[in-house]
Amino acid sequence: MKRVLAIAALTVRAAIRSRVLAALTALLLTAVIGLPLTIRGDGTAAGRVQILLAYTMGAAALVLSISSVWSGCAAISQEIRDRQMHLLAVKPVRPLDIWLGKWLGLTAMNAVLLAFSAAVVYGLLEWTARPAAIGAEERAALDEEILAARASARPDETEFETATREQFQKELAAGRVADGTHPQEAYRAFRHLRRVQFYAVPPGALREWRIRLPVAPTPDRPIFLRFRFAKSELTPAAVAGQWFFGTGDQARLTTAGEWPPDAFHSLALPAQPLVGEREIIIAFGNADPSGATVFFDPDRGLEVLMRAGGFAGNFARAGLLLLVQLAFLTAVGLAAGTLFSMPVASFVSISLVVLMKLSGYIGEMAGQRHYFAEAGRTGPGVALADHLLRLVFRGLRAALAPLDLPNVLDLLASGRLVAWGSVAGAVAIHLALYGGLLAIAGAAVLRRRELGLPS
Amino acid sequence: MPHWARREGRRNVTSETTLVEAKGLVKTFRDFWGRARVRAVDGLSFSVRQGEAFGLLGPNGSGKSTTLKLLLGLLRPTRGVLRVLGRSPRDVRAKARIGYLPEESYLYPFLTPEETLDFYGKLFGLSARERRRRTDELLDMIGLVHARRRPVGDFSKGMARRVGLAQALINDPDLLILDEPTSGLDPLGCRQMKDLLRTLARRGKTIVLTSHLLADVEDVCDRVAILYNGRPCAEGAIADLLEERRRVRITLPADDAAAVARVLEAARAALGAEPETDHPRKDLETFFLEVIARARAGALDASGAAAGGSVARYLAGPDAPPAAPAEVPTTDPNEKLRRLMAPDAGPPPSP
Repeated sequence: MKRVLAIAALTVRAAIRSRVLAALTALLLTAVIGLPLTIRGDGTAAGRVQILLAYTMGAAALVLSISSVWSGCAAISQEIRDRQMHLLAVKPVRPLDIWLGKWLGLTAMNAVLLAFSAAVVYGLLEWTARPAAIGAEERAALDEEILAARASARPDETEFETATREQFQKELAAGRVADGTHPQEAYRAFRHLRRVQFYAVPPGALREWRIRLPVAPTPDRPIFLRFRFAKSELTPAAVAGQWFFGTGDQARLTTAGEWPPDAFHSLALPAQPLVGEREIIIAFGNADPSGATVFFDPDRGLEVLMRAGGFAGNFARAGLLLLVQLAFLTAVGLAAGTLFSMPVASFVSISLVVLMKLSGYIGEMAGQRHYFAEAGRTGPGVALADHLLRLVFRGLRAALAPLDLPNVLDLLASGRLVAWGSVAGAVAIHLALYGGLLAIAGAAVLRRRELGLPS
Repeated sequence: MPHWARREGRRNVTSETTLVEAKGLVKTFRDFWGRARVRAVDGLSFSVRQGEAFGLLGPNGSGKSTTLKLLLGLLRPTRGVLRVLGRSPRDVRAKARIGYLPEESYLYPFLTPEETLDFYGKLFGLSARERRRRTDELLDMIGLVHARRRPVGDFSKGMARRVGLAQALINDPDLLILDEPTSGLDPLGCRQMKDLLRTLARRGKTIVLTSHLLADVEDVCDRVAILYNGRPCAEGAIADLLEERRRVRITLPADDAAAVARVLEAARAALGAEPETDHPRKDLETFFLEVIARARAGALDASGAAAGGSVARYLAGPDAPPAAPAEVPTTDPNEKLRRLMAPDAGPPPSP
């Protein structure tokens, strides 16, 4: 460990002496202070706070992400190029010690820079929400909806899934699935259609959903319903309707109103009637006189939010999650820099990062059975090409899916809980599992690589 | 046996323990596609015993540096067997006992000499107190105490090389591997380097070095291997390789010309051949060091490397005499004679 710490300290010292740290600090300061001045918000305190959390902190995270990959690529590849690695490799230091030392040094540097950015953003938040700048009511709304850690819950789809599968089996048995269609593809399409129906409310109808609450409501813990819908008519006119909330079969609260489509709406519900309940029923009655069907977005269109903690803790957890992501990016850069020269390592690392960002698309493609055949190509090699491509997409999906993390700054800006579980999960997956694999791979490459080859 | 060893009574310090053993060593460099391009080392076999100073000689591209990199584990042999300190060169237990001075300065330019030595000392697991002690002694030895807090990147090549030497010695190595050790050093530095190597050899340290400067190798090494195109062309003890055993040189004082003439006449009569006569010449290094020694008497502060102190105490061994300035050879023949006649200093202290 002494050797790892010595190499880590050397890495930090290199960043300080080469003025990389100073340049990054200046860049972060410019981003954190300059960016809010260039973005026009909605004029409200909530809008300004959300800009600080989503955009300003996002810009800092982007700068640090790029620098993590870059410095990771440079840390070992440059030392191999400049032969400083010769002196290091002939000392009694294991390749894994070298790798871990570099990683630890760069991650420590990232931690300091991230803490600096977060401190400045936090200071700006306090300044924006200071009593002299906003009224008590606005401050209270901020505290309830953004400067909070709200746990979220979505409708329970267990019964829906069971019913859909049973229904599909019946359709299959009745021979109502088109010939040549793979059952999995047919089921996917069938489920998608049923899910849209599960979240659709025809005119004059009432649809209800069951939601398990993440924490039991208390009198001082209001519940927020956040919803967004589209409607079957292409007019922006608001849709009239009524919300019902309750437990069992009893609706205890109702709220009537009109809400425009394609926008997020939030309803605050007093928690008193639901105190102690862990499961509630919500229902929407479509009373729109124009006869439009309402479609709630199946993924993000219907959720209940409840306060589960304070903002400071949430902000700290979000920072930890960002740091884990930066540490992972550093590991990616380091592993690439161990194997390749700086330009190639940068290209490889950035390609990997882009692949990770495309995980949604890759997941979709992995679900398909045909690619070339679907594009109308025929021939003896098409089936084989489809098969190979499917294997590639599935392999990528399997490798990348565990790395998928929610956008932590979006969570923060919408006042959602960044749970300790998410942080622990990211530490386990990003650092322990994937970071560990990258470390082992990097150390193995460093052990195998002949550093003394003529350049 | 090198002349300095004869002069200083250093001998019989090599043991039967073999520290480096190479058998049928082959190193082929390949291109990106795996095609063999250059065979840098071709069937090299040699061994180095503990306490021996072994030199690898050869023209550029003969495979000297490649061989050193194989010894250090920076390259892997294509074929052959290589054991260093009884282990694979890549074994960290072997590395813990090796000191390496590369041909170029591969130091971190942003570190000061003090920080450089401290960093490498940490890699060897030395305690903070020991690192401080050794750093102080090494900086004094290489004459860079005054520049201990300047970044190495600001140094001249010679100064950086001195720091490189110090880092190679921070662990008090059993095996010292030096690639062109006097490259980039001024004559004074060369002399100090050679003095240091002799001291280390006296302590039973094993030295493997390459050099283009044949005189340096002759001064320091017990045995040499001469490489050409990666193949060994000659190998053996320097004394065996260079000594002309069929000829004898006698050096006489020239003060009494008549006496010299009588000696020559006697030689002619006894051998039936005309003896060759000339006046011995001091070598340029000796002359240079004399000039510098005179100049140092009124020396002013310099920004470069100072003259350097004595060998670090932990390197010189527990019985080393108190620190003294680097030795400058005298040209006084009587002084030389007194040294040659001095009783043997005895075997070196064990490491």
